[in-house]
Amino acid sequence: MRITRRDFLKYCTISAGALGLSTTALMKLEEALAKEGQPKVTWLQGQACGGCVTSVLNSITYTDIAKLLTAEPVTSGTIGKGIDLNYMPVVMAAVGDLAIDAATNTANAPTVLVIEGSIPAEKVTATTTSYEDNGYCDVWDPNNGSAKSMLDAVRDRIVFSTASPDVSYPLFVIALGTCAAYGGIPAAKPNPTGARSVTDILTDTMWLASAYKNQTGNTLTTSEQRTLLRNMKKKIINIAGCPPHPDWFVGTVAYILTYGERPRVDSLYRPVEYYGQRLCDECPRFSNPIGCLKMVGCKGMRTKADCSWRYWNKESDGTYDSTTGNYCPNSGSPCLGCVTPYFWDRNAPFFKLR
Amino acid sequence: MALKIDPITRLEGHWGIEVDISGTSVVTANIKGTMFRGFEIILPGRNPRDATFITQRICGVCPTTHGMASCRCVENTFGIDDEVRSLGNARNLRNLIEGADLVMSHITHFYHLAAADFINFSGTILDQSGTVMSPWGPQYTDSNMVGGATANGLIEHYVSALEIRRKVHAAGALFSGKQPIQAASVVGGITKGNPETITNQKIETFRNLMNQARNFINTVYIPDVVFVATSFTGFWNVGTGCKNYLAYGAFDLDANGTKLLKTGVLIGGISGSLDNSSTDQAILASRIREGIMYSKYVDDTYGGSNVLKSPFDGVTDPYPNAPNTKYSWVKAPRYISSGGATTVCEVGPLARMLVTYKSDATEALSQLGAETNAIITSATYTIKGMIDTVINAISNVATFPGALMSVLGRHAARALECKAIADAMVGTATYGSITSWLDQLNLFGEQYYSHQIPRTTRSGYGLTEAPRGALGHWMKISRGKISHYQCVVPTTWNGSPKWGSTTGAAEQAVMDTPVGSTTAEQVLNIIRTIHSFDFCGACAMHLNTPNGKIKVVLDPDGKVVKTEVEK
Repeated sequence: MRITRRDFLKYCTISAGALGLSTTALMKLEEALAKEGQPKVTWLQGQACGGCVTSVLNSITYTDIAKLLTAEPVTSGTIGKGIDLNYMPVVMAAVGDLAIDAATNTANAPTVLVIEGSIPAEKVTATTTSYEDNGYCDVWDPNNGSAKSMLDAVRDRIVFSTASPDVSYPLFVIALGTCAAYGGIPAAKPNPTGARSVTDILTDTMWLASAYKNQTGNTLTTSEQRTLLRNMKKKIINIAGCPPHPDWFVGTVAYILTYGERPRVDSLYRPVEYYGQRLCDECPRFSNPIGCLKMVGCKGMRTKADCSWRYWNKESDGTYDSTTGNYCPNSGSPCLGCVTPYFWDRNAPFFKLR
Repeated sequence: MALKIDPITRLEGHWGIEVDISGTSVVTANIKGTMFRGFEIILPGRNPRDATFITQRICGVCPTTHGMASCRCVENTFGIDDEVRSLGNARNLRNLIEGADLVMSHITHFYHLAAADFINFSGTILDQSGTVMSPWGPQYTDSNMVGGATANGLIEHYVSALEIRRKVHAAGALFSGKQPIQAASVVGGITKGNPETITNQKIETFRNLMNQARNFINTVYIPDVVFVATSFTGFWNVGTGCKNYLAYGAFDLDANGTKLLKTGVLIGGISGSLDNSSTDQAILASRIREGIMYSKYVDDTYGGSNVLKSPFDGVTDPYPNAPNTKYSWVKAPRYISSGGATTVCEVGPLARMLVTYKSDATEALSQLGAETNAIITSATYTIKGMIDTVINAISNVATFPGALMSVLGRHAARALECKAIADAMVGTATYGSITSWLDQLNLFGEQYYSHQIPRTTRSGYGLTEAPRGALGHWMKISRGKISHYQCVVPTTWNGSPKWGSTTGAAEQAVMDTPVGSTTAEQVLNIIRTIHSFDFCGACAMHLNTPNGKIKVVLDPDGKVVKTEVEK
């Protein structure tokens, strides 16, 4: 039997772990997670719809990794593995002040900060002021204090290093979903609430310089400011998608935990592992006489994502089979290009029918 | 004594509540929605067909129903809704896709959102030498909670429920492209898959996955709800609320629009009656109004704080730094009854079950493994019969007839509805005439109705039932573009702020909740009531027109020159 490139790719994906990790990496991952001190994760939701977390909850197919990452309850007396998810509004048991304490406790400074949803903020003048909250999204309101906006909640999670122009915590910022990564639907024209991406907020140089001084007392020179900005940029990973595929998120977290560094990303901070190829490259409808949807508005040609061979909602991790798993163009619906910045405007209208 | 709970976690979106407690009862409750996105300005000027994809991003937990409501709304506006409904495959595929989403959402709600209100994780398998692992610890606890080794079963089901909800999602994705946020249901019907949408293989895979879910519902989910109910019997009398129930109805059974879940407004609770003509969707759609008296929108542009407007005319002007009297981003929807009374309504599974019960629905359903289920013993049943069984079962632990209208009643109604819909999707009687939606699929049938976008000015509505309750979309088109779009979503009803002398549905339910004396008890009792509604903030703070009017400038061909906000 002749093995095509596509077959080979599928084979690699399935056997060596659908998340792009080798067996050695998996062992390394297990080792890393078994170590004392679980990586702390804080998960903030801004202008989000909950689709990203609903999608990520579907990630449990790949049982071993999922067990590690989701801290699945262990029946024996062994120390629980997995991440320490100290603040995550959709799943955490704590509510109200108790939940706020979990997020604001300095002992819980996150190793990985996950942000879902865009952040509403405005600048008074584009170049000389930093972003300011405009009142469209509050994340919590303690009994003995005042309401906290999403913008401030994100900024407060950033801990600067006193020794050098660098960020101590978090080590990684994952912008989950297109809203967090590029603004998404709230930022669609004419962006009524001033929705911004995580990158916009965290690489706001005016804020970086003043916040660094406020926290550490040191004033930065211009070149040091550049260093700080560069270091901040190194922490950002955009897992775009509306919603993102659970593998993209789980695989990225697994990579971070295994190697302790950011996976290779493209210029839009998306891991190339998952966003490295055009949708059409593996699309079963491509150059298929009955199939290609380009004429009804499919944006696969300019969309870089691996949906076309990864497939969505696959029920078995072993077999590649179009009856278990599906993706938009395979179901007959054109690709919207949902991993692309500003796709709501650039790619609309989604249908090109009369 | 004032108490703030903000954030309320384990629900979707950003919610807070401020209550005033006197003794052990709540005197006033203000439920606040604290996030705003402004969808309505994004929709005008776009292609009406794109609305299906845009509105699904309102909520990521129940996107599918937004897609369905939007499809129906646009089809109604185009005047092709009867034609699409008469295509058997389109009708049944939509039922299957929407049903899978509903079953997934109900299972997720009970185990992953609500269960932690009833479990004390200390001493369970999640407890590691005195510290409960995050995100399950820390937590507020009270003496009612199930704890220690007894709770381990529930925690294991938490994990197996994750697997089942994933499988139900996968079943839905076989026909819908992907989940969450489906791709295949579009204006006009269902798209054609590669190589075909309906194949025997897909039907069997779907049946297999859904049968696993039905087995889970019968043997795990319903017994767990019964287990929680027997540990918290007091909650059959807690959180009653407004006793008015509104349901738009969903799941078309035939080309005439007969529905499995019935349409209507039940006034006065289980012993009351359906409001006159409210069983007609067109009349019901015309009786919905929204007000902004206590919502963060400017009164002047709305025409005054005491004005109620139809969604066809809804104008809104957000007011981020509004005075404290305007406390929520959520508008206040009200139903105008046949007698003209402004009525607060509760929506959701309980509303649907009660309205269907009162409509004397006769549709028979076939269940999987009747012998394993303690609730219903026969192989076939009706929704009315199922509710009667439950009412009998709880009559000895709680005071009938009010018991079903409570915190536990909402959980029970959700579980029973989950079972009924799963059975309607794939349950076929061996003997008898019940043919499930899956078995009605025709390998060679039509599933798409070809149509053109009308160039005239038109308006329409689309009503359906989201997992959390009644969902309606209203739109106007002009020159082939959207000129007005508005949604009234489930949590806008349940999480409604005050309006005039009326108090929102969940606010009334919180005021019907005895809260106890310690902070932990107060917080827990309040969130148990709120969680029983299955709040979804992403929906509720959805699509109001920000900063005044949206101005869409069109050129003579109907092409959008620009969309702008008039401040």
